[in-house]
Amino acid sequence: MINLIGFGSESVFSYTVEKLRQRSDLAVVDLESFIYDDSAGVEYDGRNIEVHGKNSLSILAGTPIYHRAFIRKETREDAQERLRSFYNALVAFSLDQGQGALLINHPLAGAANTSKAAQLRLLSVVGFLTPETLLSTNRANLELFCRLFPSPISKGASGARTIAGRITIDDMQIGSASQPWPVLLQEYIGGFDVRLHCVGLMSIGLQIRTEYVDYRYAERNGYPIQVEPINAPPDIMEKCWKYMCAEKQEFTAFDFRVSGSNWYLLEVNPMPGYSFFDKLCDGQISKALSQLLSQGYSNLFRPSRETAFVPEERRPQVDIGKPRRD
Amino acid sequence: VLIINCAPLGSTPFVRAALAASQPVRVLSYWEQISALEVRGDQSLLAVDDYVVPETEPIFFFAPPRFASPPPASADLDFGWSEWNASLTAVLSLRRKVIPNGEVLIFTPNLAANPLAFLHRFGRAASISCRPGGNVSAASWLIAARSILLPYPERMIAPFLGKGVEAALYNLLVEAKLDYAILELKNMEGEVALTRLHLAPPTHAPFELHLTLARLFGAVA
Repeated sequence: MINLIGFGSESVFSYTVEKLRQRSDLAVVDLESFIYDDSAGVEYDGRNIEVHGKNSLSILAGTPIYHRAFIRKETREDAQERLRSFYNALVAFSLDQGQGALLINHPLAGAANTSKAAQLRLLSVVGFLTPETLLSTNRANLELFCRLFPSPISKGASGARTIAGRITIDDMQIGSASQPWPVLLQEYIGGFDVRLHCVGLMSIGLQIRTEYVDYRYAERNGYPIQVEPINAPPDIMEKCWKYMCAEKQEFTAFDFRVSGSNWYLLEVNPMPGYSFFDKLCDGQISKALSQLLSQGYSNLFRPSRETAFVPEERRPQVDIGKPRRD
Repeated sequence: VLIINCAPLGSTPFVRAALAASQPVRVLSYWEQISALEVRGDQSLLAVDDYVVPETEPIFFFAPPRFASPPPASADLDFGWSEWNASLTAVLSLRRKVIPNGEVLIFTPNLAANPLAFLHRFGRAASISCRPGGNVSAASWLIAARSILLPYPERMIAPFLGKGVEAALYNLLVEAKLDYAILELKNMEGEVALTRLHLAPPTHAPFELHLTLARLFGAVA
C-alpha cells in the first residue's frame, strides 16, 4: 500500500494523486476532511497511525508515504491544531521507521527553506558554487554591492514566495516605510536556468531559456520559454546526493544557473511543487516518484546490509593442479 | 549580554529578571532597534543603534512563534516579519559557526515550533496520542520530553529537579546543540513526571522558570 497524504484542494498534491490514480495499491489521505472534522483525532501507538473521526483510516508501519501538507495561516485555529497533531504523529512515525523507510517530503525537510541566506551557507559547505550574496539593512553596503555586481537579483530572504527581479540602486527603498526589512541581493549570473529534480538516485534535469528573469512568471508576462532536457555533470550529482543525505530529503528540486561550465546553485526546494515541470518532461518526474514509491524503500538512506569483506564461504579453494610439462 | 526580544520591553518576566541583574544587559524589542544586520559569504554583522555587537557577545534570541504578539496588521507586515526572522536566523546561524563553544544563544521560531524536529537525534520517540478535545500541543511536548528521558529510566524517580533531570537536560543541550531548554516537572507520589518541555521560554511560564533561565544564562547572579 502506498499512502498519499495532503490536501485534496492543493494543486500539486491533486496532480500527484491524478498521476498515480491508476494504481490499485493507493491510499489517499485527504487532510482537508480530517482537520475540519470536530470529532477527528489522530493516534500513534509507536507503530501505526490511526486517524479516527468521520473518515477513519490507518497508516501502517513500513508502508511508503508521499506527503505534502502545509499549515496555512488562514486555516481556523482548531483545524490548525488538528493538523499539527497529525504532523507530530507523522514525524514520530517517520522516526520509528528508521532510515531505510520511504517518506517523500519529510515534514521536517521544509525548515531548510525558511532562510535563504542560511540555506546558501549550508549549500556552500556541501561544495556547491553559489552566487555572491548580500543580505543587509545597510543602504551604503547594498549600493556598493550594486556597483560590484551591476543590476543584481533581488528576492525575498524567507520562505515566502517572491518574484525574483533585477534591480538598480534607484529601485531600492531601504529604510522607507514601505520596506523596513532586510534586503537580499544576489549577483546576476548570465546563462540559462536548470531545474534538477532528484527522486532518490534518479534525476530529471530541464534547461530553461527565457528573456524574463524569473522563468516561472515568464509566460504570463508575455515572454516565451524554451525547455530542453539536460544531464547534470557527475560532480554536481554527487553534491546533490550529499546534500539530500545530510538533510534527509528523498525528493529535492535544485535551481541552478549555468554559465559556461559553471553550475551556480541558487536555491533548493525541499518539498518541490513539481507539476509544472512534470508537464514539460512528459511526466518523467511523476513516473520516477511512482517507481520509487513502488520500490518502497530509500536508496539514499538505506542502511547497507552487504558484507564489506569477502567471507569464508566466498573463498573457494583454488585447484592449482599440476604444472604442465609439455 | 544582548537579548533580542519579540515582546514589548518589560512585558515578560524573563526580561524583567534580566534587566534587574547586575550584569550589563541590553534588550531589544526584536527588529525595531536593530540598526544594521548583514550577511555576506560566511560573515555576519549585527548592530544595535550604532553599537556593533561583537561576535563574542552572548545573544539571547527570544522569539516566540510567529505572531504570538502582536498580530499582523497587514500582508506587508506578515511578509516583513518572515523576512526579519529569516535574516536573523541567517545572522545567528553564522555567528554560531564562529563560536563553537556555545557562547551564542540561539532560539528561532522555526526551531521552537516543533520540539520533535530537535529530538530526532534521541532515537525512537515514545507514543503520541491526541484525541478530540485533548490538548494536542501539550501532548507533543510531553512526548518530546519523554523521548529525552527514555535513555535514563533510573532517573525517572530522581528527586524533583534532581541530578537525573539535570543529566537529561544536559544530554538534550549537548545533542541538540542548544544552550538550554526547560523541562516542566511534576512530583507525583515520589516520581517525577514531565509535563512540558520548552526549547524557548514561553511568555506565560511561571516567573520561577524564567528566573532559573536567567541564572543559567548568567544574567542573574
